[in-house]
Amino acid sequence: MAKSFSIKRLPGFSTIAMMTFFVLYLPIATLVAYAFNSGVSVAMWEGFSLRWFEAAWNNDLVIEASVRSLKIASVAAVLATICATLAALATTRTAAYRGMTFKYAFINLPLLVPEIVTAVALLIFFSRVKVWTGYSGLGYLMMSHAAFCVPFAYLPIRARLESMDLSLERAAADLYATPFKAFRYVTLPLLWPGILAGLMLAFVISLDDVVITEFVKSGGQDTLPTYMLGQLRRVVTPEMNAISTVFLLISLAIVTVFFFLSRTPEKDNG
Amino acid sequence: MALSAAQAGEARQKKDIRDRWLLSAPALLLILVAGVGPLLIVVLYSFLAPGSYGDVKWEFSSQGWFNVFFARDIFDDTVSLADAHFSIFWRSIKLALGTTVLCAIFGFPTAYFIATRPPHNRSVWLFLITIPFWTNMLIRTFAIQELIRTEGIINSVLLKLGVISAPVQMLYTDFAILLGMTYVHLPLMVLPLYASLEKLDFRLIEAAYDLYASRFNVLMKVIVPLVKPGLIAGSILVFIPALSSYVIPRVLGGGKNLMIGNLIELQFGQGRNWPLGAALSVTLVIIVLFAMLYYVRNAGKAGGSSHG
Amino acid sequence: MRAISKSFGTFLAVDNVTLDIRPNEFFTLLGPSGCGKTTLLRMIAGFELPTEGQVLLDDRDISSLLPNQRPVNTVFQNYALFPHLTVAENIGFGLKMLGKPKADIAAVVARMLKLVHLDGRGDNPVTQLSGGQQQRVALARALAPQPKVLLLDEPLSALDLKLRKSMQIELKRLQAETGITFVFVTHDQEEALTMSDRIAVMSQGQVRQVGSAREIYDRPADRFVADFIGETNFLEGTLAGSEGSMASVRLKAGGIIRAGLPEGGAPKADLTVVVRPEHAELAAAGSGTFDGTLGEVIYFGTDTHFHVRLDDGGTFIVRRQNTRSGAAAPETGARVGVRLGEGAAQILKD
Ligand SMILES: Nc1ncnc2c1ncn2[C@@H]1O[C@H](COP(=O)(O)OP(=O)(O)OP(=O)(O)O)[C@@H](O)[C@H]1O
Ligand SMILES: [Mg+2]
Repeated sequence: MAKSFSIKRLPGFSTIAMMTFFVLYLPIATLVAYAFNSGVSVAMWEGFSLRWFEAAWNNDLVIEASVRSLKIASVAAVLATICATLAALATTRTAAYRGMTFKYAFINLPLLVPEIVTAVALLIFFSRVKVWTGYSGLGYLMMSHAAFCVPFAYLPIRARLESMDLSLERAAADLYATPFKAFRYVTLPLLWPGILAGLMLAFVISLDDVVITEFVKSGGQDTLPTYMLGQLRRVVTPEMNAISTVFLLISLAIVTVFFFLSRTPEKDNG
Repeated sequence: MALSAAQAGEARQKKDIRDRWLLSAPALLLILVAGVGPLLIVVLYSFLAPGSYGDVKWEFSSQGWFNVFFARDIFDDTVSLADAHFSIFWRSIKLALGTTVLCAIFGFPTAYFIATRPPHNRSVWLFLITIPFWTNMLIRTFAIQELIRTEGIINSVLLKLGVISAPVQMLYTDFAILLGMTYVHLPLMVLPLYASLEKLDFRLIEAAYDLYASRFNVLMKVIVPLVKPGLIAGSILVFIPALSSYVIPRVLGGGKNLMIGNLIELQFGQGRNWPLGAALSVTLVIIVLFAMLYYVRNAGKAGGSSHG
Repeated sequence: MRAISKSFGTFLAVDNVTLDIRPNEFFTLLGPSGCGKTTLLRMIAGFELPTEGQVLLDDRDISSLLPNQRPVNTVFQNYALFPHLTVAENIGFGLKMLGKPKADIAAVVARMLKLVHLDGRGDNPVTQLSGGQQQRVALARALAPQPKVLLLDEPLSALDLKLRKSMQIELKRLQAETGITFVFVTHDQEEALTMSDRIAVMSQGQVRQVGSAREIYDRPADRFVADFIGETNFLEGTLAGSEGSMASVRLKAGGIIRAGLPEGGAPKADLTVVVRPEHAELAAAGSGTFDGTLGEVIYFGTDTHFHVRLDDGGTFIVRRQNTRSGAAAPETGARVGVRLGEGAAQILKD
């Protein structure tokens, strides 16, 4: 054991790695710490207090933006996950057919196009549509969020499907299940963790988006990130840290659940 | 006797493929309408004339593309190269490349470190790398901003230690952008590197030491070539979003140190030259496509050579 | 099953097979890996549609029905148990899909659990069962809806030897108790011989011979079957005359023997005769059917193999059961005779 370790060791690597982990968490830790500062500075520690959390809670703009963010993320994540699930069913576990590679590429295209360009494109497109239809609600944001969430939701669902044994559905068909019943009673329950993982991923991705939202939103449609982006231009108080801290906690919770969900298939097999 | 089995089989296959198109239709439609479809409009807009107050006039014009490369002096109408655009493009590419290199310098040892942990510990270290990746990018940028601002912690600590006598201006510099982009994109480099390092056969390294290779030689001649596919993948994953960054230069560059993304935004805001903005967007997409193409080529080669 | 064929692209996996499987029989498809057994089975189950030909069940053409429309159930090679359901839910799945009332399902499931000796395990998750138990759940699940035909694709291949032996007996018992037609796939000839009422030996997509274990073993139709099943001696010879189902054959190695004629084929003048090693015995030189020189003598515990070098250059193996007294064996290099019993030799079709 000791011998193989010395072979794997490269001098300085562990130091750099530890430094990387330290630097990765230092800014976040500082940010969270100063959310509890009783002073107005984000650099001078003046004592512990929850006043900035209170301030954020009493800030109508923050609450409105948060609710809007959650609304958009919920609708977008559900929409994206449904689309991604259907698409994953259509693009896995079959001999390659004409158009399958195209579908796969097209679904992943949003990952490839620079976000700023998509944002500009949607700005142009939706500004026209807004004039034509007269509708300028949250629908545009929900639609565009759903679109760029599809590839993220598709990822874990597809992975789960591909690891699923095709013979289970054959067994169901053999036991008199119609294709629909086989899906309902066998495929769906087994796919469920993948779908949930996709849903969460999509939710987090939508919640985090700044650029596309910034360009697509109409007046008064700030989400929490675009609100924060606007605030960053001004003098920043620890209220921003407090908002960020809550936001981080929510993301962290979702990501942790996602992490455990996407580990389950290994356990099933093992 | 309705259908022969062969005919039934054919019909079933046709239906299966039709069902598969129907199933994928919602996703394709959604992405077409609210994702990448409008890109075609951007291409169209880049060939139209600018409207007086933003938007476009519906007439063909090459002005948008002309303006990407040339500037016309408003007083004497002389045409010169659009230095401002070139310098922003060049800056963006330099910063994106710098980010990629820095991510590789910090990411490689980190990925190596994780890959050499005992297997049951690895997922914890990986999780530690991925957490920041899934937390809001804006918040992470904001965290960096707080750290490096003039009255921020780094300056305070350095002042207290007497290393510096006056606060150093770090925020709103290229250094800030570079730092922010490296910080934000680092996980994108670590993950693919880890993926190829994990598959690395350490017996090869043993063999190299056995043949009297020095540690440096082992690193450069054995390990690096073996993880080349991961390194290329990571570089692309970092370079592309770094090149098209918008939020980081806006927050950390303070509106003075623009990158392509901010230049594009300007055309749809104050500048109000939509066709120019559209042409700049298309240019960015083309650069990204070339980077992708380079990646596909090299990934293909690297994959091929690793088989041989 | 009538003139059924299946091709994948240009590859013919099942080539014009016609089989008549009788009600209530234990029918086995036996053949080397890749000969098309699974493909044939999948066409009966409905997972694969024949390129040509028909699958008939009780004179009804079911060849183009979906798997869920066929009264045929399968025990999968990897069991394919539903991991998210309990043992009882797995067994009751088919009946539930058929829309049977809950009480009926519960009754059948209880009966099935008893049948496969898993009483009281109904509420266990299937993932916590041993390989043998999972195997029995798969069986019970396929039997529960009372199919006309039960298909089993190498169901025992994942089990260790001891478990496999006991499951062989179990399967035989279940088949007798339920009276359901079993179509069993294996590439293990011993398994096929011990369990089956009738066996179809397949090779390269074709059925070479169909018959009971005895028929196949004692009277193989062609060289492939003879070679594939058990150990065999091949002897070249010429036809010397025939009467009824028997013929006289003049062997190249010397001597004339009486051998069974193959079904429905008048043999050519030059022919091959097969003799199982245990159907021959050693004799004093000159007193047997033909003579040879004794080569290796290999001791196997229950029996001993004597390799006899024939005068035409071939080798003939004689197998002798070892008894307590241990009759004195001739020495290597001695001239010995080989005596063939009545009905020991069989003429091949080709
Ligand atoms: N879906 C398919 N596409 C192409 N070829 C196939 C397909 N399924 C089977 N084959 C081919 O058909 C032949 C017969 O396959 P089959 O699975 O029926 O063999 P088998 O007798 O069951 O073999 P084994 O004992 O190994 O299970 C094989 O050569 C196989 O490669
Ligand atoms: Mg098989």
